[in-house]
Amino acid sequence: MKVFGAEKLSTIQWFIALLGVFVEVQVITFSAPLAQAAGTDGWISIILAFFITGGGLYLWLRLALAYKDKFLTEWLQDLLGKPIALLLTLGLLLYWFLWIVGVNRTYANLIQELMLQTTPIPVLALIAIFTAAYAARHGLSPVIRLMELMVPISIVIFFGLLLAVMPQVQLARLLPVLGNGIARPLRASLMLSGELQGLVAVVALVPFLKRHDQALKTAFLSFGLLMFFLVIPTFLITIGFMGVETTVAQRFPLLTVTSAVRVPVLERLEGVFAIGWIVIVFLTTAYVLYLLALVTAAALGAKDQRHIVTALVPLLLLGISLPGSEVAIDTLSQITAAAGFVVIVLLPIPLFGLARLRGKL
Amino acid sequence: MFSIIKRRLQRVKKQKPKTVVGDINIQQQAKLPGERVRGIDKLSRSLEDNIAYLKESVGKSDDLRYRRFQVGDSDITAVVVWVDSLTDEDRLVRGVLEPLLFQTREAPPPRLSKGGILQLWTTLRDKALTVNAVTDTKDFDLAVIQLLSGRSLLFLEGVDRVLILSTQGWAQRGIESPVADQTIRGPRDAFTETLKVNVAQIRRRLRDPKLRVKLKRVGARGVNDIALVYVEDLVNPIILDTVKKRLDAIDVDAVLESGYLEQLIEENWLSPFPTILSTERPDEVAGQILEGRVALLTDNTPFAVIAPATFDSLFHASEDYYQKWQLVSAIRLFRFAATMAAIFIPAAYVALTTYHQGMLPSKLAIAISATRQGVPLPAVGEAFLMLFLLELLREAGVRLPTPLGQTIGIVGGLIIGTAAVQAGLISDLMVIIVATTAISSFTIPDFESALALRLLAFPMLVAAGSFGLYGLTMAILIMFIHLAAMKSFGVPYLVPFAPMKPRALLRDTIVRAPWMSMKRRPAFFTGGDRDRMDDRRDS
Amino acid sequence: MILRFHRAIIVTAVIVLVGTVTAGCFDRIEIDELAIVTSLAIDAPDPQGEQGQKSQAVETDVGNTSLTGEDPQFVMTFESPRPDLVGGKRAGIGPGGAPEKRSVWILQGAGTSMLEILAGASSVSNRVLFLRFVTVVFIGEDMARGGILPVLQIFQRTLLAREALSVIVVKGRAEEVYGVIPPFTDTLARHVEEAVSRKIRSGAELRTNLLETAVAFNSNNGDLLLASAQVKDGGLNLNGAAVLKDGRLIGFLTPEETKGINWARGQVRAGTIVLPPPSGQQRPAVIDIAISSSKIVPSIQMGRPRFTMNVKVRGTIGELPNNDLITPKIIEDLAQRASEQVTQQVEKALQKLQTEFKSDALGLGAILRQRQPAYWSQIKGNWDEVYVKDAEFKIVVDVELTTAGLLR
Repeated sequence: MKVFGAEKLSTIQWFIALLGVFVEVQVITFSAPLAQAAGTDGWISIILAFFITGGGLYLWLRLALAYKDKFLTEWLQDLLGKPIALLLTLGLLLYWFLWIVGVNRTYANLIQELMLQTTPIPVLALIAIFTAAYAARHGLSPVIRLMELMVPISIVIFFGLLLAVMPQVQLARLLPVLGNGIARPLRASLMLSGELQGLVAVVALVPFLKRHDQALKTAFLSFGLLMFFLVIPTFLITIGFMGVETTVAQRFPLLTVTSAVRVPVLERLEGVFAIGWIVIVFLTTAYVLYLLALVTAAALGAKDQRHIVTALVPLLLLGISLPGSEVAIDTLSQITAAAGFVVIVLLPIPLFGLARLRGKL
Repeated sequence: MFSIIKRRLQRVKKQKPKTVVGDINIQQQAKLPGERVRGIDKLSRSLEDNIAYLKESVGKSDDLRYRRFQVGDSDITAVVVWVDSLTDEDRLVRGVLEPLLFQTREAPPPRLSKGGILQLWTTLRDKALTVNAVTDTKDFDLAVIQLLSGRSLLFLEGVDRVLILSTQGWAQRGIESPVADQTIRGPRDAFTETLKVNVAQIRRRLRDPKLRVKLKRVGARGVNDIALVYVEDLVNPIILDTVKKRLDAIDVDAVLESGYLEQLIEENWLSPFPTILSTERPDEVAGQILEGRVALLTDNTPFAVIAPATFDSLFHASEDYYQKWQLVSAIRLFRFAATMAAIFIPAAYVALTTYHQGMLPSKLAIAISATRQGVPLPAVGEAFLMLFLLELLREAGVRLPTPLGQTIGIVGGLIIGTAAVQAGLISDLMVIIVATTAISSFTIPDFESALALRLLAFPMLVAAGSFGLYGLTMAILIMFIHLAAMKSFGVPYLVPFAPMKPRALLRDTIVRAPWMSMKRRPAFFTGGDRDRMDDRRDS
Repeated sequence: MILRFHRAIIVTAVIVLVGTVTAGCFDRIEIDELAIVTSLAIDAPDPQGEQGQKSQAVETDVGNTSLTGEDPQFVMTFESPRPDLVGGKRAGIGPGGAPEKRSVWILQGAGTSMLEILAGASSVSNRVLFLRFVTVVFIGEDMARGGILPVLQIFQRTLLAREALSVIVVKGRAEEVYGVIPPFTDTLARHVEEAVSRKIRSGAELRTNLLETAVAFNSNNGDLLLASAQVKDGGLNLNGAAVLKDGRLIGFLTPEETKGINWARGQVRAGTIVLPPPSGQQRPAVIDIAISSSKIVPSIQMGRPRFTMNVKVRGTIGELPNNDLITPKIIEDLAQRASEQVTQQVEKALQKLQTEFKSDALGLGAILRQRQPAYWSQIKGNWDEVYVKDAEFKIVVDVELTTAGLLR
């Protein structure tokens, strides 16, 4: 299958793409459930989760690289035979769909609470999805270019913010280490691995790469940077700043942390931060929307993804507006996390084994 | 109307006529694009017939002159035709009439055979005439066009051909300072309305044997000469090819100004962002050509057009290369910030004061609230009103004769602004904001882009007025998506920001590196979609 | 015709549709429609009946707005600057004086919840009370004694700038603060903001903001310290501290005791140590404090927790009782005496907290939990008792002095 008119990705772009797709609203919210599940040892869970998910990522990438010029759906078909592969593809589509619905809904809630109190959720969602669809319609290259443009700046600003909060952080709050034993962090890490969605979505980009030999290294570099320099510090700083109990009570812990940043003229940076985060969420949504459309288009034999993107918009909108309450959203994210665990960590194992049996093509 | 143009742009191309300055090697039987048959396509042997044909085609304009004479002592008649207003009579007399009337006296009278007439023709063409360029053709259409371009035609009884003689000359403006592109440091000569002079100005700066000047003619009725100027081993052949193809596809009545060209060959005519630059300055053109771009000079207008243009071209001025890199980098950053300010400040102000008051510093909030007491319009309305007034004043200032124009602009702005504030119609902060916006937008070197970008402020305002910062950010994202997807003649518009080319990013975008570091030409005209690297040269 | 432009038609239709649906600019409110509230005072309802004793500070009283018919739980007083009058643009207008001449508007209401009070306020105020700019919350003494949890809960739901919001317990009724005329600023909030953030302080003050309060409340089971203030002689005195146990106000610390607490927390950044003159001298020696820090190290001694506080102080000699030559011996002597004084202050403060108030306001339990997890897991059910009975303190003070002076 000819992949529709996309440029090849350079190594830098691959690196950035992983960051761009992966980082979305969760960075703002994850500290609270993690603190509840693992207490002050949550950062250990993150490290463990890195290895667990890393294993899954490794297997997926090896598989994708073995079939390097074939798109995800194609090589799944090669490996599993058409009917099973189609089923699996459908499952993946559903999984990604649920993921992106959850992300956008959480973010819309955030915006509504913080900035636009009376604007109804469907309106906020509509705007967000429209913009993402506009980008997805243009194809992969503009989305990647936008990521190149915006991800580095965002990461730098994010680091800056974290650093700015440091003076008010008391790392002693993170003690004692493993005071309650390893069981809780271990369980939490399993839960966390499922929440690291977006990894398989990035694997789909493999056939678009220019340099396949560097793909694995770069991916892990990027993933490692993400976990060790972004996620772990976020958690540490959040707990160090507020203590476990207060973190658990927050819905958007990172926002409260940003409120601690003191800049000479400006006050209340939370709002600026929340708005700036739109970019991150947008990038993820645009990419996933594109991917959904691409996969569907490939399956249906359509010429390009544009019309499918348009068709997906009302579906997404419906999905985002549907959950009526916090409970429903929580359930949604739990389902997504469970599915994530299966897809990212468990699924590649049999696939890899199968590929091995077949002599890895 | 656009659809008509679009359709025509996709038509199959015809054979192109080749002309080079110097008037040699005009291909015979060449047809013009958008073909209009002028009545006949073949000359006859009879002089009278030819003249009759000519009169039929061109009509009885009073500025057409005919001079009949006998060649030498013979009875063979010849006619020279020229257009009075376009001919340098001196050249005509000395280059054509004198030789024909005097020198041919010495020639032996020819035998009146067919071969003899042709021999006479050849003698006249090769040995007698002293004009600098002579073309011998059977192509009547070509001859008529050349006649209307100021050249003279020579018909000889018994020959079915015509000689086209370079005797053109007309009144033209001298070389003056550029009007639209002001700089502090740099040459002060600008292009004029004569193509030849403009090409000369470029040639003087680039005495590179690889510099190529290719002429094309566009326009069906008002046939205009376009010169493509580029350096052969620096230009990206794909870009050149695209430009040529698009030029050939143009099918309009006349290309009166290079602006027509711009709009007819650019690919994103829906976008306010320019993918082609225009300039009045030969040094700018020379600089751009050396980077591998293609310049189009159009006869009858001093504005040359350069393709392709990318996003950072908006912030480049030619004098950026004449000054020290530290200054230039600071100024470019400044321009960039000013551009962003011009587009976003009114919208941001509206968003903050209408939706997210909590995000303002408290002192500022109270101050703003104080200025807005009693103002009847909502902040959005105020902003729209003021921006609209701004554009009005600017446009009025342009139309008025120069000394008056400046004054009206400033005075009008001040008076209206102050009066409105005092009457309590708008808040003074809004006046400040709009004035800042205006001044910021004037820092953009390319005057047309400045207008386009200022107009962008309006949709931003709408977005901000409807959904606050959320709407504004989404609008900004949409703008960036548009930019990211845009291509200028095959080059991604946002290069070298995205796709990221780190070296180029630091060399010559919103900052400029010292000349020592700019050893390689920007490779991204060969990068982007394609990876060919053979247009780079180490200096 | 339609086929050729079908794309344009679709796009236009979508835009129109979307525009219609989303039009309405849901959250639009112009800034001049807002009454910006800069500070709040919360009191318990006046036991003498709400119309009985009204403080003179209050300008506008919206009366008992308890819509539910129950007794009011809060009395809230709001301060809102008048934008066009701020900055004294008109003659005679300033922060003090008669209501029509004040550049702030003081509004008071009573009700069972803040939202109810706000709703009631709308019958008097033509502008929407906008709370996002509140920077100071004053809590009255009687309100605090009843427990600050309800107060914290109010702020959980509304959008306030949590980190920048100072929380101050006022001795007496909180609404009295609005009788104070700030000398330099228009609003009391600004006055307090500046007072709290200025660099030179006396060392006997505490800075608490809402976020810290919430964090301490959560981590420490409601034992915490809050800044306290007192309306005295027409001015607002911001030193001293309020001690809370289980979220209720137990008592106040004197400025000296507060200083002791600040030493223990390592938060004395400026101020002086005044050493009383030894016998035969009249003037005291004064040391200017440059910086101080402290580290609390918990250890277990015979089954009892012992907290060692290492306080480091660095300062310069400000005044001496006489013009003696400053010799190393004198410096040493002064340092010794200063160290003794600091130790005393800290001891007194700690003792008061431990025995009189019985409140672990310093968060010693948390420190124990962090550093001695094994021990903590044994006693954590009984921490309250253990703290009062068994906790020991060892205070080690290290004073470093550098000299300064014109005379010799």
